[in-house]
Amino acid sequence: MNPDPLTEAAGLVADGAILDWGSISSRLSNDGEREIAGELTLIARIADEHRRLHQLLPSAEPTPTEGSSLDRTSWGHLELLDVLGRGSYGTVYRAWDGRLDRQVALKLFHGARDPEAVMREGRMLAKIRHDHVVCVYGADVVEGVAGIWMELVRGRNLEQIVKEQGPMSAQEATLVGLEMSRALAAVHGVGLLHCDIKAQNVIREPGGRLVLMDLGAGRTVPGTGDTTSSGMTGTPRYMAPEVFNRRPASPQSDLYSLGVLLFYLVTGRFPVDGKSLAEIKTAHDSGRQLHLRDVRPDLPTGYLREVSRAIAADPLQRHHSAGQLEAALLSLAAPGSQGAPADNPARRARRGVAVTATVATVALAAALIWSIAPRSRTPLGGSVRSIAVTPIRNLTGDPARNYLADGLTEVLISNMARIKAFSVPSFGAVAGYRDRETAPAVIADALDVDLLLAGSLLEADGRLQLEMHLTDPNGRVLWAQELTRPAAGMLAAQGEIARLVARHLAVDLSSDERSTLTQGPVDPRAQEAYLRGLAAQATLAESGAREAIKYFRESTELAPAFAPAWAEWSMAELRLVQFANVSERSQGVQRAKDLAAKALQLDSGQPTGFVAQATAQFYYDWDFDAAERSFRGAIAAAPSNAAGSHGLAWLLAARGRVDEALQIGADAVRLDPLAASRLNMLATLHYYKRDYPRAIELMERTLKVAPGHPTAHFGLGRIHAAMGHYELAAEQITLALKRSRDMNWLPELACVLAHAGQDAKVDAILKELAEREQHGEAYSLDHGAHIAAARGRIDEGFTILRQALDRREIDMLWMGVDPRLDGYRSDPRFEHLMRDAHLR
Amino acid sequence: MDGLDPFAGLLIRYDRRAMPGGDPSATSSLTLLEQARGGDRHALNRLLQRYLPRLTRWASGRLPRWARDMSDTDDLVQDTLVRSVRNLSRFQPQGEGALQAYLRTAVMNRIRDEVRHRGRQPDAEPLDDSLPGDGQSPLELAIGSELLGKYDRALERLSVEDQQVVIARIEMGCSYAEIAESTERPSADAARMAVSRALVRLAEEMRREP
Repeated sequence: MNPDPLTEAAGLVADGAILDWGSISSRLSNDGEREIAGELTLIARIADEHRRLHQLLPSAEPTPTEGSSLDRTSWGHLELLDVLGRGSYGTVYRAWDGRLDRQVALKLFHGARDPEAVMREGRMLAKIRHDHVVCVYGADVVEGVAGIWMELVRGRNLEQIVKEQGPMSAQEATLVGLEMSRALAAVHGVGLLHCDIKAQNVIREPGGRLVLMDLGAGRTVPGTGDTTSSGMTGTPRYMAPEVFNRRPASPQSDLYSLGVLLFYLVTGRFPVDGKSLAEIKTAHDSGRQLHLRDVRPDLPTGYLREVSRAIAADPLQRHHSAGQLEAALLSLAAPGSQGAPADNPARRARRGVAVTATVATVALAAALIWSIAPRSRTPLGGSVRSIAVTPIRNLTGDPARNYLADGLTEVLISNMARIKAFSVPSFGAVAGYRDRETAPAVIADALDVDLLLAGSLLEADGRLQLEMHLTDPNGRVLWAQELTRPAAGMLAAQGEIARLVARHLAVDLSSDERSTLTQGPVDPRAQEAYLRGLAAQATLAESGAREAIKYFRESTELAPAFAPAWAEWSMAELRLVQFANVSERSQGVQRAKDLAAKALQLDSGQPTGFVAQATAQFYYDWDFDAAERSFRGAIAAAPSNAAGSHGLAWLLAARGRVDEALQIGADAVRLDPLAASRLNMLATLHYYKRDYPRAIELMERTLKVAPGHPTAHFGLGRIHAAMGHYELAAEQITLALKRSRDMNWLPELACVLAHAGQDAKVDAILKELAEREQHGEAYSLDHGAHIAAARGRIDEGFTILRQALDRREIDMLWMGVDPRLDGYRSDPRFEHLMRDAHLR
Repeated sequence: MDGLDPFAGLLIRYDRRAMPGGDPSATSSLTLLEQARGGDRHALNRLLQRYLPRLTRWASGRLPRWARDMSDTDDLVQDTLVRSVRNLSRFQPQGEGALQAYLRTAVMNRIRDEVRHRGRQPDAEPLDDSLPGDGQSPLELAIGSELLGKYDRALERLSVEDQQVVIARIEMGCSYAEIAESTERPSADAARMAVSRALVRLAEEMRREP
């Protein structure tokens, strides 16, 4: 019986045949059937889509091994489950290790002529313990069959990844190259060669870990007296030319293969290719090689250079060792090194003016710093190493993670700064090198440091992977380390890095230092809030302070024992006090002091806790002895904490100890040579010292580091005024006012104009000040005294000074050294003021 | 729990290379299932080997973009299969075709759970928002979620036997010979006829929906 037309059509749908729906429809008797046919067309589409799923995913197709049936069911203590692959050397099985209750990969060398040699090799392979090398568990000979069993690695190999996702970026390929050169160094380190490095033999696990596989093809390094040159091993396209010519494999031939891999990753092609072994050999013999620059002219020169070197036809021209290749790749991964401009005219030419200009600015700054801070680090101890931690690169691919990379950098810097043998520039000093391609030598010069610590951050499966490396100014890698941590351990990891660097540099840590750098895990949400708080803290505005407070409070609620969050909260409260009315200040200051005390109670060496405490004691309590103790506490806890030195310098100047202040201030500048606020501080100290030419020089340097910096223009104005150059002074203060019509700079301009005898302008300014005061704006009262002095009204000036002191105007702290008050100094009333201010 | 549960140690991670196309040994899936339920790891592995590749490819059409990575799919399907086999003590599949349909339902439910669960997470959209249809599976994108939903609901209303053959032929890409074997039909032709009739009934069910 013939089926009805609908069933017939359904059969064709099931077959996947192409249907003529028009003719089918014409054979149907009613609308109902035609509607059902309509639904069948939909089912046909669904069937098509499924067929496509099953056909279009070749990686999910059956493996082409001829039959996967097991030729045996067990081997020693291992129960064979199925065949993973077959080759001329033998067969790889998935097996069950009943003793340890885990799955393993087992490689059986059925035809091995010398099972004992395989075992010797297996024993050596088992010695390799490296995160990026498949872990070999053991080797044995059972009933005459040699076998090696190892970790069962799952994931996709790099060939699949390149085929599915296309060629990689130089950055991604560099990371692969780094991990594989480390893996190879580990293999070579036990006296073995890999002999079959290729994209198919590198597996990326779902979590991102890269694993070098298939060690079974490896041969013992020549010279250790084992099976060498027993014929060609490896895959032709990856094989070094000398191996083609039957010369023994060597570490250099492995490096060649790794070079081919790095070529393949960024192009999907091979430097030497052909349809057959003979064609490839001919290409080698005639020197026919594809140039990476021709295929990917966009790649950084550094990458082109290192790959070309690795695949040089002459083994002697390749990298000497896997370690050397690793170092070269590391310097590419380091900030700004993908072709350091200094030795790389081609790249500089391509990138054009922008880079040249940046380099010029930095080089200029470097030259300036050189003269301010001659290379003497003796005050901090003879064996001090100065290390700049450059911003950790965010390679998570998520720009929203920048706060994390920056925050971790900041935490690492504060950890490093607590090691007394190190001198470490603050985050502010290095922040400018974030994502910048600046050569290590330029950074080291600009910051006047011996060493650079750089790194990058990756995130996979909720775990953070930090790669850190220490280089000298030439980019030579001295130490490198990779740490993978769950989120909860990320802050503790920064302490660990600091300890590891200290150990590498043979620095003995005191037990205090060691315990400081050994933190327990902190609630991940508390860490997150803390790092976000740091990011908010970096913006100087009032809103930034408020946001920071919110985050730090949250962090302390989640992790009440986490001292850094209490300390930073305290700093944020002090920042907010600056914006507060006089009446609200005392409350904010008290809160800041309580928070700092809490931080110090939790960690008696918390540098930021000390700085916050000192700031409250100095600027608001006028308790100078206590403040000095606290600032010194900060410096003792972390000698390279520039904030401590910075604050102490201002305090010592206020107490009339200007020479001491200059020394400490110079320390702060040496730690943070590119920070405008530090240079401005040192310039002002020279102004207090009445060394005006030096003060002008430093203010001008501040302006070179931070062009247009209004505080520096204002500072220059004050200095010129002190020198009697009132026109120059007015010019500079006007420049400052153009940037910001600061209430405290207007009186200074009035003062200068009063000296210049331009009374009409003075009156206009005083009028503006009075109007703005009526609108709730305030300026420091002592400015009135400066104007009074300029106009020769000393008695009126003393009245104002008394009021200013009663109001605890912050500027009054430096009344003892401020040149603007020189007109009052010989009067006995001034001594009274000084005593009342506890400055005598 | 782990020490007592014979399956606990077997939430294994398969290497895709370990998946042969068909199982050359003649042991039926139901026998393997029986052995697996008795705690035989080897039998469980062979059973998974038999169903995993197809179900993984199938699942890759049903998972939204954010979960479509093959390794993710592998894990999810494998994990579901191991759990389902464990739960099978409460369910006796009538034939191998029923087992496949049962496993498909299990994976389907798991995918639905997964989508619901991830959808609830605040950071569930880490992927490029500019690409449309992140939350949709390839099948939904190709066919439209409304039509696919209509098909799914209609399929669920079919008899168990019809469901088995439709799933095997349309969704899993089984040959008529395989369907004949797994549903105990005398020939491939008989299997083809069973599929055709089931498809007409499916189309009728679909027509009933507005």
